[in-house]
Amino acid sequence: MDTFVVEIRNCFPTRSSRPSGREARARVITLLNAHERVKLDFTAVAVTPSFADELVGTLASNLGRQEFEKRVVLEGMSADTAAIVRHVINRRLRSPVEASNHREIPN
Amino acid sequence: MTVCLSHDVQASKLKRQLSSGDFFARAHGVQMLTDGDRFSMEAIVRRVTKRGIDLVPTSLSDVENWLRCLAALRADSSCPSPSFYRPYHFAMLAAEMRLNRGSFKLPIDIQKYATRMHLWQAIERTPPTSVGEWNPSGKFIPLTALRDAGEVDRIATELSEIVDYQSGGETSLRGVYSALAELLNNCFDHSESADGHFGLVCAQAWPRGRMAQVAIVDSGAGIRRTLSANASLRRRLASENACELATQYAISGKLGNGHSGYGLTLARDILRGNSGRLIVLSGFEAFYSGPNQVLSQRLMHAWPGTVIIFEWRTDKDLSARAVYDGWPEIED
Repeated sequence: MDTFVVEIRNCFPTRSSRPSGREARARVITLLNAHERVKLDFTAVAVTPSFADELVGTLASNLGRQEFEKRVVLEGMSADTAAIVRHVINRRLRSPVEASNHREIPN
Repeated sequence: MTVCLSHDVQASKLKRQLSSGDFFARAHGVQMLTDGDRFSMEAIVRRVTKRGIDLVPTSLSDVENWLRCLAALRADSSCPSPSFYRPYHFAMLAAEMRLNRGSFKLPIDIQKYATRMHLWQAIERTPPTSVGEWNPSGKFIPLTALRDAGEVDRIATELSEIVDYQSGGETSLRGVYSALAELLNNCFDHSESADGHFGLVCAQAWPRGRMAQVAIVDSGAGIRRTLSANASLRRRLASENACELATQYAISGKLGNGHSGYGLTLARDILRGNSGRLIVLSGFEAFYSGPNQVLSQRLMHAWPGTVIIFEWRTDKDLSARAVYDGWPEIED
């Protein structure tokens, strides 16, 4: 499977705000349009809940759980980052409003 | 007009209480403790042990006292100066100085320390004296204006270095980065005011005191007004303390509009696990969360904007994992 690896540390030097999370998501969506799968490598980085929510939470909400799990791979997360990411994904997918808004991103 | 902060000296009493004053001065660089003021030594140091010093944690009444002093400064152009400055003193004083165009005069021994902490420089004023810059790495962050998003990230990283340095790398560095960066971003987002003033941040660690503090201050809209933008909160705001409400999970003035209200909730929950303290002031309202005590109260003097004081024990964990795992995943 065609997988593009994104090193969060190098690709997104600013990882604290919602706007920086939105920018990161836009780049990941562009990559998803060109590749079957995108691997997000969180090795040696810390993120804020807002950044994580915009990047992976909203991405999961847009793609839907099944598509997200199939096409987005998360790796290299510390225990704290994994906890943030798990929380924002679950929250977005379980929120009735957000879940109903999800849309497919063409491959 | 010159505005003065002066010592109300009880130096002899203080020096008697501070029998190991030289020890303090050498070990902690708290040279201002050799002079006295109206606050007693017991207000600063709880006890000295072989392991170090137990600094008295910041209380809500300490901050209220300082607010009262600043109100006196505004009204009478003079007020007592604390002998032991913590980050919140500098941050609130700088915000006050920004609103008051008079020239401020501090006791001479404080003046040098205040210059080193960029009290004047952060608000683009010329300091009254010059001092050699110290390498602050891991010990303090001089007062800094949050002018852009890049500055927020840089300060959050420096704050994490303080946590890491003071803990010998044992605490969860990344967890506290998340909390502090989130708070700084909140401050940056909410501090837009008509007068163009930026939020201010200041931090200091006291290594032998095993304590560190970050103060984040802005003169923006304030918490109550910000939360009022969320119609679903108006009923609660009519009867609840806005500062306490803002520390609850998923409370935000912009909820559903891209915001989730993580900042103060994360700070409060992380500090709860660390036996640290979170103090929030905004308008006439205040909230304190510390070990064994949670307080919401009304203030005698208003703060025009928001003050957040994040104070933690450097010898205890600041992990965020348990906090995230404990949060609900569905909004009510």
